[in-house]
Amino acid sequence: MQPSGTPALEANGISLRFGGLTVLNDVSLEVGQRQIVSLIGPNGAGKSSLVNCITGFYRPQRGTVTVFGEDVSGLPPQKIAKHRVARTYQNIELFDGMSVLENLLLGRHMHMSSGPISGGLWWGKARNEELREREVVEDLVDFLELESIRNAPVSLLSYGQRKRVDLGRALAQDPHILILDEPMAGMNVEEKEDMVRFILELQETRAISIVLIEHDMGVVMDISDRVAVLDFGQFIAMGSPDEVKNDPAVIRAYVGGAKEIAS
Amino acid sequence: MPLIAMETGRFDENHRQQVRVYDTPHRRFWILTLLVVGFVIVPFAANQYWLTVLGLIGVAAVGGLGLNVLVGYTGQISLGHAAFAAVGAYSCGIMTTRLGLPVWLAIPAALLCAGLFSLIFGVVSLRVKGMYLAIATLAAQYLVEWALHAWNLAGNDYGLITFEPIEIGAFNTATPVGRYLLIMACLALVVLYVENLTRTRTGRAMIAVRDQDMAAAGIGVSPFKYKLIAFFISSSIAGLSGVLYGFSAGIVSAEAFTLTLSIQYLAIILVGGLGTVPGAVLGAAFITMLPIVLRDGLPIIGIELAANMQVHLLSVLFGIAILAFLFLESKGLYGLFRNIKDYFRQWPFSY
Repeated sequence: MQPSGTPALEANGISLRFGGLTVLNDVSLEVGQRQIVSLIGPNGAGKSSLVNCITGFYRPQRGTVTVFGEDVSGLPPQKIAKHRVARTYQNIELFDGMSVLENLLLGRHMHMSSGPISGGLWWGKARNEELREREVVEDLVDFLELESIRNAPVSLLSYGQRKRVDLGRALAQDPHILILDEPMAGMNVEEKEDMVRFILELQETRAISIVLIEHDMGVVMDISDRVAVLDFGQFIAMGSPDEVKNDPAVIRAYVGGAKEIAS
Repeated sequence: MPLIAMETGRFDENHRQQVRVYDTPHRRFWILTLLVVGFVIVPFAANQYWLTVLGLIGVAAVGGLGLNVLVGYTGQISLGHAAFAAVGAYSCGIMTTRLGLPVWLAIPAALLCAGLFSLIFGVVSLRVKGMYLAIATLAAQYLVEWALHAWNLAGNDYGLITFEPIEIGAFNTATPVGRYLLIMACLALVVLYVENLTRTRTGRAMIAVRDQDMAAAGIGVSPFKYKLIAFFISSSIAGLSGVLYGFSAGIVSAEAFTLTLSIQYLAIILVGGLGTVPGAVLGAAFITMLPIVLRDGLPIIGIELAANMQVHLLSVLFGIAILAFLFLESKGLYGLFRNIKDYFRQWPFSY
């Protein structure tokens, strides 16, 4: 196991610019082991951009990212994934041509090793591996209650189901760090409750550290260990849910304040 | 009522039963029938003409399956597959006829050559997609056509190279039956290979790259690596198609591997059904049979056409067929077959 003192995830001084537009300005974030840290902030504040920087999809101009003390800055997404960082996507990026099971099996990709020869010949190793991983994936199907749709093509599923498969694919990677980009957007109360149940169970049973981007303040304040508030590419507050709730800067960002109106 | 009952009452007891390709007894029965007809009955019953036609379909099907790995499963386009087939055919021809290497060594080596050659163009796929990749692979086409003429690889000015028949005991590809069996055996192996590939790790990663290359990277699949693997596998299979063509024709020239063939491969998988194994075979049969039906079928219904008209009409029909499939049934012949099957599965209660 990792030393418990090392933070699971540490982003240090991340600055990201697209041309003349500064998206993130010297942003630092630390996620302790087994913590749930929520990122909140108005639309366009840079939450998804920060996540994209952490997972290697964007390359920030400055700053470093470390995972359990290992520097992963500048690595491509597929290398960062190998450090057991998994994520879901705001716009659900599933593999539409495949079934739920195949999408989940793809999450197991880096835990498998068969190549085009053994796979194409359905040889002992590849076959055993497929069957072994199939069992791992079936456990996930149970956990996420996807039994009835396991063979359905994901393109035919409802929005809520697709969100769940997206989470399943990330979980199949057996991550140490899980980044959830608006996992509850567009869901009804019941679906949100399910999702929260899944997240809490994960944190408890699998010892996963979670970064959560979410707009539902009720959920955020209930389940987060720490909350970080991003506005115009900068953190304006960070702390326990209660501290953040009463922070004047946060209230100003969300509902506006006297100063803003005056200027 | 076999049609209605064929998929009910299935209770898989373990994962091994679940991942079987031919899962129902019904399907296994048809596959077995197909194998028996293909390998036992046809060689005895068919005359030389039909053996040759079926052989041509087989060669086209192998090429189509090869291109399907790249286009249908990995979502990368190639207009240069005739060139990769040519590399396969010429490597094999040169190694066996001119260097005197044994066939069992020359064929795998030829496939390796075709695969490695295609990697040059696979590297391009890191930077360019779609239309631009198509143009880049078109370069392969012209490069190979030019090289065959200019470098005199075959030892004569026409780029002609002969293939000595393979002879193992009673099996001899100098006979029509021998050629037919060689092609069909290779086709069966390629079908099995592609079918297995696409249900295991590597194939899934390719499909992931096709569907969502960014998300593929996010789960640890390197899109570039799998594009290269797809190029290699796809072109090796195309190379095999070239080799088979060589053995069935006995002699090949550069004219056999022009851009037209590359486009024919694309037509095969478009008409048959992108990203499906049976689709490539059905498409190959369709594209190969079209001119034959046109030539032999039209006189039967009383339409006599001049030879040059036939050629033109063929191009027109070719175009119409592709357009029709793109507009009406984007999943191709195999999609059509599945729709019909689904209809009858629920018939007469389609609700």
